Amino acid sequence: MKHVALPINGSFRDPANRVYEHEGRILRGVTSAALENFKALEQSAFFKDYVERGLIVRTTLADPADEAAKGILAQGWAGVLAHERVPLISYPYEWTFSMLKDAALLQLDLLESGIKEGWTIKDSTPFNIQFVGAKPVFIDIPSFEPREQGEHWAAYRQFCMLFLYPLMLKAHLGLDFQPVLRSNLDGLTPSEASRYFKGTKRFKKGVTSHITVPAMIEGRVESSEKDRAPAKKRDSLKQSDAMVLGLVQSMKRLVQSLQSPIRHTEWSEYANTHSYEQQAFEAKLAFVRNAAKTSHWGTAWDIGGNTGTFSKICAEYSDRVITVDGDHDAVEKLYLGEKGNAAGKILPLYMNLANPSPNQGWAGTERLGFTDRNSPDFVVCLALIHHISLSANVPIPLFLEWLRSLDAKLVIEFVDRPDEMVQKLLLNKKEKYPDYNMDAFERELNARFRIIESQDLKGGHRRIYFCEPK
Amino acid sequence: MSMNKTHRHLAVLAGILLVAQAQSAQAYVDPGSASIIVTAILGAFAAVGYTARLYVAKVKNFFKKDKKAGDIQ
Repeated sequence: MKHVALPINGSFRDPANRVYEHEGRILRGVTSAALENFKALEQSAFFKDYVERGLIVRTTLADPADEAAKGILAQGWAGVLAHERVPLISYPYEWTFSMLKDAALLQLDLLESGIKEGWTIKDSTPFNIQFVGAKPVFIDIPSFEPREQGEHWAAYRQFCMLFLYPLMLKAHLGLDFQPVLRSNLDGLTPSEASRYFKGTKRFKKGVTSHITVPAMIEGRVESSEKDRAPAKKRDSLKQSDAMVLGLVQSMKRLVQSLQSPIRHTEWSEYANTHSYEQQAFEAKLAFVRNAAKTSHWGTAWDIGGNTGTFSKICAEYSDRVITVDGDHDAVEKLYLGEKGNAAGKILPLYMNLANPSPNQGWAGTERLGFTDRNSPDFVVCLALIHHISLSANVPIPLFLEWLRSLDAKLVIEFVDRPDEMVQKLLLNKKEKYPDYNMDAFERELNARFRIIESQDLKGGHRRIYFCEPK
Repeated sequence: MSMNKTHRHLAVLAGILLVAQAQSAQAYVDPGSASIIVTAILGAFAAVGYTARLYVAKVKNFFKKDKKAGDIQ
């Protein structure tokens, strides 16, 4: 059974292909139709251009002599594609506003370029896009299909549900879309979206065309076809290229125009307003650097990483870094800064560490939880524990247990009671958390990790540790 | 033929603007069928702008070429 490739759980919705994983490689079994499509696609100018620019994942036909490919062919597939592996997997409910917007613009760019060369993209979902560093990359190659003359934009509705409406929720109403997408893996229907845009909100840009009108028409179609009434077969009305490209381009202009400016939150300005004096801050930077440079890491995590100051240090000694923070604007600031960085290794994600993305979707395995799809070699956890324990009420031993389960070397900063930030958190609370203190912390840490190095910061109010799992 | 259908849909739209109440989704009606109508309506409007932009680009290009020829002379 050495060369058996295992099918990936999330890849089952398209009957024309299935993704497999084998010893770290990503292979895809395809039907003969999908295989022929790929061979033609490979030759097209726009496809080659986007691959060259790193915006479509590199894909080749797998060597038929390859053992894993043979195993996949034996399952009945007509051909096997080999994809370059995207090292870190993230989902749209972990992306910031600009990340989803850039993914949407990539989708539309690809669609427009494809249509001009006789191709279309049959679906329109952010799950077909992954980020490599701060760059969106399209990964679902079999979504490209030859376009029929006069074919309308079939995936328009899906684009609205998974890209446009979430972006509009944030841009027009200031509502975070991430919790909505996390619960609704297929996105919002026009009818659901219309409930957010009542009254004068209807007049915000794009609402009438893409929410009100579709919701109304869907309502009328449903009421004429619900219960026992037969469904009408609606053949696609032939649409001119002007109609289809016109719609795609107008959608692009609409998405471009959607903005959600960064507000000054407690966290987005943290790099400037933190409670450290310059000397203490330099000491902290040096400690993290000394710990990071003890090895070359595959994947580093900076949890509670804010605007990425320490992630950048990790990036010098790692292949890739994930920065996770629970403040949207801090992560957004990091993303916007990293965007122009072609050699960027940092993937910024917006997630509450006290409630990380769970396993969900069909059978609870279609979309894996955060710690099930990414695992670190090196973790940096600075000035976070007091928030986890005092604000989120997760006791120290439990938090350290979770960190231990990551099975990685760790740099952790403990913020002791006398520190002004802890005082601030405890000030108006009834519970005074007697178990939150440095002795208890060190005891719990020593039970699970071997401390390699440690140092006092801020005159003993804080202590930073570099340790490895026991 | 398709333009007549589109005109009809536009008329319906003008008549019932903002009045109809959207119903919640029923399981057996494929939402895709309504999508065909929606993209036709939106596409009809978008095509106007698209064609106009195309002509503007052509006109701009025409004038650019002329200017270049003039400079050489």
